[in-house]
Amino acid sequence: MNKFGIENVITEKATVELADIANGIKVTFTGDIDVQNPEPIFVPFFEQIHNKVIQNSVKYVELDFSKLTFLNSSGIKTLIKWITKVTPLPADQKYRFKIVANSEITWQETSLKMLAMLAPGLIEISIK
Amino acid sequence: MDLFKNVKNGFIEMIFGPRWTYIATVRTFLQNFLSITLADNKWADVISMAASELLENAVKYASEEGTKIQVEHKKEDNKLFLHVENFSYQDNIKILQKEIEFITSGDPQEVYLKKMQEAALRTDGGSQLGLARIRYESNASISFDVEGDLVKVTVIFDLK
Repeated sequence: MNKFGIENVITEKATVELADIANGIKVTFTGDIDVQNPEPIFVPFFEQIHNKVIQNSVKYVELDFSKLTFLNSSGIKTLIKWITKVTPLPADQKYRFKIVANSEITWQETSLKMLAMLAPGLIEISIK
Repeated sequence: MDLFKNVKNGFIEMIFGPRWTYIATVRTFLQNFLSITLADNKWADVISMAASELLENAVKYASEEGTKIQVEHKKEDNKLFLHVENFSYQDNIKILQKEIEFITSGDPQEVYLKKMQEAALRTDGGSQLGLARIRYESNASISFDVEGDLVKVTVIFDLK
């Protein structure tokens, strides 16, 4: 269990795991996210993380997609909702994201780069 | 037999559903099939993603049974045509028409970014991102035809 006490998300085809790392937290996505409506599954999970990150003054969140083989546009929307919660925060509450993408999974490079454009200066992309 | 006359172009056609659970199966089949057929594996990924997004729309907005997907590789032009057909309600058809007009009206990246900003504010289950995503990730052209309540969306990928 991570330091926030947040349960991981496990669906039929995907897992999303939260783990503590030295400089913040890491969220690892695995499998396929292609359910018809991912919002009831992922939005509350991301909101819990967001709230705990602010409460605990965590400044770094790593989102590792390198094992996520598919993400539908409804799944992309849940990430957009999280990321756009950070941009309006006051400077002392803002935190940074690092997105880890896999160059062998074609959609990752293109789709994940676009997420960075939603929050200029807050998102770093690392393509392995 | 007609079956063997159309050999100069690669062709796949599937009719199913509409059922959400078939979408991943069709996406995986296309990805595997096209990765053998096309020289560049990246196109197999992009086209299967596009098919998946179109089929999601077809299932979400279908008014009755029947979803058809066709993939045609025109080898002479090195273009791939992806068609998805389904029956829908007139209100949904009008929304789709406006959506395609908007998606195809500007720079793919700018349009996708605008749609992402809109998606952040949406409170319903939909994202309205699929078509913008397809255009941005593939630079494909997108069009649609309507005959009564039958809608056919066509995406043309220039594989050159």
